[in-house]
Amino acid sequence: MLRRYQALRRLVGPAGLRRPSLAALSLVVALVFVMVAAAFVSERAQGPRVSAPVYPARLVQHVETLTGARGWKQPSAMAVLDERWFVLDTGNDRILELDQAGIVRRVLDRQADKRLALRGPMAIASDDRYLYVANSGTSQVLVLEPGGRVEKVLALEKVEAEDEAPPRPIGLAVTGNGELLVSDADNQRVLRYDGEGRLLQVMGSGKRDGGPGGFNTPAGIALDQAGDIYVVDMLNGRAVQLSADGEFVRQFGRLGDTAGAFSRPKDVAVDSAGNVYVSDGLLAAVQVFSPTGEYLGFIGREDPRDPDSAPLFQAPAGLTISQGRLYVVDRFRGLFVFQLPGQG
Amino acid sequence: MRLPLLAAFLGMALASLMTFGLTLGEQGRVISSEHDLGVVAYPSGVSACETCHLPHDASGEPLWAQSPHPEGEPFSGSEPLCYSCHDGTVTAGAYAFDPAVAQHPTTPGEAGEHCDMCHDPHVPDYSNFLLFPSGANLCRTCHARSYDTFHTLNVDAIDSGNVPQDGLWDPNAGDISGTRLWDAGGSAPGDNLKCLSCHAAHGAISGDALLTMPYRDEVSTISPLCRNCHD
Ligand code: HEC
Ligand code: HEC
Ligand code: HEC
Ligand code: HEC
Ligand code: HEC
Ligand code: HEC
Repeated sequence: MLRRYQALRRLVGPAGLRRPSLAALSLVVALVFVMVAAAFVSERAQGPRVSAPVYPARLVQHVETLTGARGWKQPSAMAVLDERWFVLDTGNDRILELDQAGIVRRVLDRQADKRLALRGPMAIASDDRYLYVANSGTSQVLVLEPGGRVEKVLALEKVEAEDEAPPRPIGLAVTGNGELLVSDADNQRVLRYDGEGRLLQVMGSGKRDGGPGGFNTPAGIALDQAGDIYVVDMLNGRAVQLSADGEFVRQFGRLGDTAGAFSRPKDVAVDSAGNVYVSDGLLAAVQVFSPTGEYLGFIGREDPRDPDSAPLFQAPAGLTISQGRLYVVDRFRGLFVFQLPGQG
Repeated sequence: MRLPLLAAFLGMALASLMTFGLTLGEQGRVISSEHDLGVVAYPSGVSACETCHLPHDASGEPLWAQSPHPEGEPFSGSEPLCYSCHDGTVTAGAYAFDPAVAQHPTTPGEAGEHCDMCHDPHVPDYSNFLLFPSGANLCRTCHARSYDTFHTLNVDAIDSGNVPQDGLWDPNAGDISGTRLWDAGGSAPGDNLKCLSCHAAHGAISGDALLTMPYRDEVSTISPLCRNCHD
């Protein structure tokens, strides 16, 4: 029967088999195909298609996702604290502590502290004492010592009584004065809390929205040295810069699939010169902008000089910058470390 | 130098054709489905289609000569697109893509044999954007075979009686061949059981039969799968 099913499929074609009403559309689809081909050919005729500038970051280390007991499953982010690397092993609901050679030194999970009950942790940040984890599955931010002891569990309550769900934190940053900025993927807001988890400020309208004040799935958050806030606005295809008190300053990128545009931006980081780095899970690249939004190029070619080169990344997500190095966590390919140009 | 213009024009024509095609086709039902995620209130707004069919700027510079997810490789076709939201960000959880657990076999790059074998992201007729109801017979939509050679549990039994004559009903028995859980109409006893009670398209424990729990156990003759419900 299976074989017959497959034979049938070949005969009728998938569209015909599933959606006969679409058959009339096939002519349109064929036409569209010819047009795409024409557009493609016309672009080809102008010479090399791939001309997007490559950003001169140098790959210095790649730690692949391991398998087995210390293996990683769909890691999503990392933080640096005390020269050690803390990788959020999202698929295994735990944190892995790595030394600088990329060797797993310790596993932080419920065995380290009963309150370290991670469920779908999506973001991790650090200040000079603690790690902060956005535990998306339980609407909490966990504050822990690098040894794994949980210092605080901040429960995020519904902001408005009529919200369908409490916040689902998937992005997180800690400000210089110990406040937390959290992106709430379910309610389209960015929330500011004090260190005890008291809500201080609400940014965003609470529904899928655009324009200066709106978000359509806010994700990664970062701060620059002046305290300005950068938020990835995933489904609007942009990263938004807000002043330290939350006023719209500018946006980087737009929805699209070419240089300077984003297909599915995930996380953002800012270096000490104010340059802005945005990972894109679907374009398989990290794109870089100057502080004023000028496009500086992208990171992600296996061989930066070869335009036909394969991508390094499969699904790049979390970004962290520490001491002139950019750390990129890929959901399937592990951790990449780049030396940034002009940063020691 | 008219070529970029031509390309831009063709791009626009394509976009408008697609929208036009939809008012006729079934894709129109994306609107107000769970996949309607656009925001159109602004001039720079994003339509429900554009969250997946990304706007293409024909004069823009592509980053890659080919797609960064080459056709035919394990993570290709529509999968990177689905994953770009179903990765714990736009939606919670990501088990459909867990490379560490067994998934239903597919052929990426072949129309109708990849995710589109079971899902159409435009059509919310059935739960989970499936192409067929996920009731008792989900897997049997394609896997229907003769009842004596097929499923150990004879789920495709032509015998309309739910209770078999052969005395092999004991879920704790090592051998359950001949057990029938479905009648000819495809209903389970009490209609409580579905193929998905024991099987999973995503996140099964092994690829052999895509079971949610081990059927055979090294240490005991009692099947952990059966014991899960019959204890
Ligand atoms: C959740 C993602 C998603 C959304 C939202 C979406 N599409 Fe699609 N669409 C797809 C995928 C995946 C394909 C298959 C593409 C392929 O196989 O290359 C597709 C294919 C198509 C096709 C080609 C015909 C076919 O069935 O193969 C048309 C036309 C289309 N989409 C129109 C639309 C329109 C118009 C909208 C908005 C109302 C829309 N789509 C919204 C994912 C989406
Ligand atoms: C633009 C983001 C986006 C893309 C791309 C996308 N989805 Fe979804 N999908 C969603 C959202 C949002 C939901 C609602 C469920 C939720 O929020 O958990 C959903 C729901 C679903 C569900 C129902 C499961 C549930 O939890 O209710 C299925 C199945 C599904 N999508 C399949 C697909 C497939 C297959 C593709 C690729 C062709 C795809 N999706 C691409 C955003 C997306
Ligand atoms: C054999 C049929 C089949 C195929 C092939 C298949 N799916 Fe599914 N999918 C299902 C069923 C059935 C469910 C309902 C989940 C359940 O109840 O276990 C589902 C659920 C999902 C969900 C929602 C659950 C979740 O994890 O968020 C997503 C997303 C999804 N599938 C994506 C995909 C993608 C992407 C592919 C291609 C790589 C794919 N599916 C291929 C049958 C299939
Ligand atoms: C849309 C049709 C379709 C549906 C629905 C479907 N399958 Fe399949 N299944 C196939 C095809 C086609 C193959 C062969 C694929 C291949 O070899 O690449 C297959 C292969 C398999 C295999 C591999 C072993 C074998 O016989 O080749 C298993 C196990 C399986 N399916 C189980 C399931 C289960 C369990 C479900 C329900 C969750 C299911 N299938 C639903 C079409 C389907
Ligand atoms: C009560 C649990 C149970 C239910 C319900 C169930 N199955 Fe199964 N199925 C099994 C077990 C157990 C096996 C593996 C048997 C073995 O390993 O010998 C299996 C194997 C299969 C296989 C693989 C057979 C092969 O050729 O390798 C397919 C396909 C399948 N089942 C389809 C279905 C369909 C279709 C339904 C719903 C109509 C269904 N199953 C409902 C328990 C179940
Ligand atoms: C997901 C839960 C589940 C699993 C797993 C399961 N069953 Fe069942 N089983 C049921 C339900 C529900 C019924 C129907 C009970 C009713 O309606 O009276 C049933 C009915 C039966 C019956 C008929 C009992 C009667 O008196 O009518 C037998 C025999 C049986 N199961 C055997 C098995 C075997 C053998 C396995 C392992 C391969 C198995 N079951 C796995 C839930 C399960």
